[in-house]
Amino acid sequence: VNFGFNEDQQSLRDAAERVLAVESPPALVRAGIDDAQAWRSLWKTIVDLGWTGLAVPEAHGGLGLGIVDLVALAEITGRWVLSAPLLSGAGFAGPLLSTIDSPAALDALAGIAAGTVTTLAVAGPDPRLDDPAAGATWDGSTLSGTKRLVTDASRAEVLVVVAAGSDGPVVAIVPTAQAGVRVELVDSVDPNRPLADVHFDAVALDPGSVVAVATGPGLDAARTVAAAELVGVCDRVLEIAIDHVSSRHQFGRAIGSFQAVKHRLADVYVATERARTLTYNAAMVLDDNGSSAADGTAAAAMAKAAASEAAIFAAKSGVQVHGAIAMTWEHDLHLFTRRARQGALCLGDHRTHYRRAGAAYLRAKP
Amino acid sequence: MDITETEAQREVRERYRVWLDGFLPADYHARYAHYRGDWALRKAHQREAFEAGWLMPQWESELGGQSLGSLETLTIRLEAAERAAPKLPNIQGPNVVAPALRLYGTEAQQERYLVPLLRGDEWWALGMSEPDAGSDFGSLRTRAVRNGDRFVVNGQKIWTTQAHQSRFATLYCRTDPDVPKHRGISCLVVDLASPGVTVRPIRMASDSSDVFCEVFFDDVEVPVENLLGQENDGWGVAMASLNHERDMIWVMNWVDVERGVDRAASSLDGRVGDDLLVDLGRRVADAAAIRLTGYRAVTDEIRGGQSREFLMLKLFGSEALQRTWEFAIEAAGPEAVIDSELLFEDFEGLGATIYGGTSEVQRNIIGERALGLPKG
Repeated sequence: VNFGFNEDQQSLRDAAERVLAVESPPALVRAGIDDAQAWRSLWKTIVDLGWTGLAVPEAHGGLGLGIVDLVALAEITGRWVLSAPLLSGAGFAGPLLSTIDSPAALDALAGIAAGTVTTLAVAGPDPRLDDPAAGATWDGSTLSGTKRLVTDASRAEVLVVVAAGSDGPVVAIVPTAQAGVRVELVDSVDPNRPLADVHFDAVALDPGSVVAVATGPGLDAARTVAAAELVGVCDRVLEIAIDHVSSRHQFGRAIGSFQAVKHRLADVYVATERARTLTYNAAMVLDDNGSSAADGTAAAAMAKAAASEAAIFAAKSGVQVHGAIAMTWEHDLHLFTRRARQGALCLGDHRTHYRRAGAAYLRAKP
Repeated sequence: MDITETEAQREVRERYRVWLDGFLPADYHARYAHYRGDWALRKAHQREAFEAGWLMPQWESELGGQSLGSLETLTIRLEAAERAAPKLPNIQGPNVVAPALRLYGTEAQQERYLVPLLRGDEWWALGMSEPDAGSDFGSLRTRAVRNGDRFVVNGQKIWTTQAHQSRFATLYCRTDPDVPKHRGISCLVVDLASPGVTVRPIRMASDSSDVFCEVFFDDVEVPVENLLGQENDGWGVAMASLNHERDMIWVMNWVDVERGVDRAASSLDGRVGDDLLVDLGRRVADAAAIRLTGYRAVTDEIRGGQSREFLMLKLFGSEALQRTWEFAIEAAGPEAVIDSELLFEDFEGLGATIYGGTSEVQRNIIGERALGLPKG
């Protein structure tokens, strides 16, 4: 057992922190709320740094690394509320594609590494349902239906869609430019990660780009990466809150010296570390060939549940200890509150995943 | 990062399992509720664990160990907890006093006290809290006045677990009243059989195995060589002891959480509504997070990193424990009110957020030491 990042992972994190502090400061993230194209200025840098290809096999233009590496990076992108669609492709769609052994999937992975904006469509008409295939059906030649709240779909060239096939779930690789695909941008909490409902009107696809597959392991990885981003959000919110309560004086003292404030931030710390531990654990379990798929599902469920809950708690606590200033546009905290909410509800909320963890425990119980 | 066990972890766990299986009665797990109160078994377990090197795995063989590293030691501690190995009868002896003796004791003190303590032949109490010095430990008033080669001790301690069964206590006394309060404290090893010591057990609200006592000191003479650590450095000894105590407590909390989750799941039997399943998942995640955060702290420390996470384990573990038994009661439903075992667990759990430093104190520690917030 070892919970430490290796040297390469640590330098990746250090580099990401340096780059994003300069290239993705809160002022630019704030500007991204009104300017839907603002993310493009940073995209080439991200692709050149190799972040999009982190977990793509070397033969397909990537670095061939694992979920732990994705988690190592996603934590840092969460700290800076990265607007660019890195996680939708490299973090969410990529791990699912990696579980599929087909030329189309490998092409799509190579595309992710090369900077083709790609995303993952799982939620159906009722996104509360814990069924990734809901809403879309594949009849052997065409894809029909609606996928909802797809991250970065309005920016994407390629959609990785989980749909119901005749014998269980399939994964379809669909160019957004394909006839019959309609991407309907919706107003959502975090415009830096825009959401869209995507309608498929009998979209004709080459059967080679649709594969029947057990989607569990790929989606568990996506959930774990999403959890890591939320841990990064918690981490940065806590830093910002600590800075504030250490310098803000009322009643003649720094307000961080008052227990009512100190104890709330201590609770944020515990929630954050609980989520971080479970996220690292899930990443390691998913990267470990000796662990079962069921272990991976339980670990990813605990990670996503804990991180979703922690991020909301951290963001709300951050606002509370700042007071009125945190309710303003000019203050940075709403950027984190937006990402916390978006991430917490994406790929299954905390109730969904605690339920999965509870069910997994009962199944494994002798 | 690697979630798989190292070869060393696997090897040592296997050897420990063989030893524990050989020691425990065949029906131990089936009749755990009975054996939990079997003091003879618990005492024999400590003695044999000492002889076999499983009591203090990280220490050398003369002191109940086998010089294991910290990762392997944690592996054994968690395995012992998971297998519900008999609890040490005088748990603060090996887990709190012994590390303090090793850290601060003179050669003669270690020679005299360590082995009988570790074998369980002599029990120890922690003389810390006083009627007016609980969380504010630094304001303690029990006085020790130097008189030649002796200290003369007067004062009172309270909530002193097992004092009535203990031979010795690490007693924190004020030795210099003229300096800021935490700088004038010394730690003395006091023989509780000394003239002038009166021990009064306090009747507990529930059937707890850990009985509190009041201890009165009336002109008790303590030889100067019984100073543990430097004169007026009792604060340092106390802080080190509390660190060891927190480290002991979270493992105990973790196993109680595991038992609580198991108990709750057993009483669900089919009535798995959505709300109960969600709550079960929360508690399962708590259990996993406590254990894994312990590993995270240890492996970070081995790598030379800082492990702020150690500071959260006692707070997190004790609060998770209470949430878990609360959930076990909810899962059992209204009949929990006549379930003496559940009620006992719930009641015992109330102490977890008090002993070893209250949750309020733990939050101050996290706020100030992990987060660097200003002191109040």
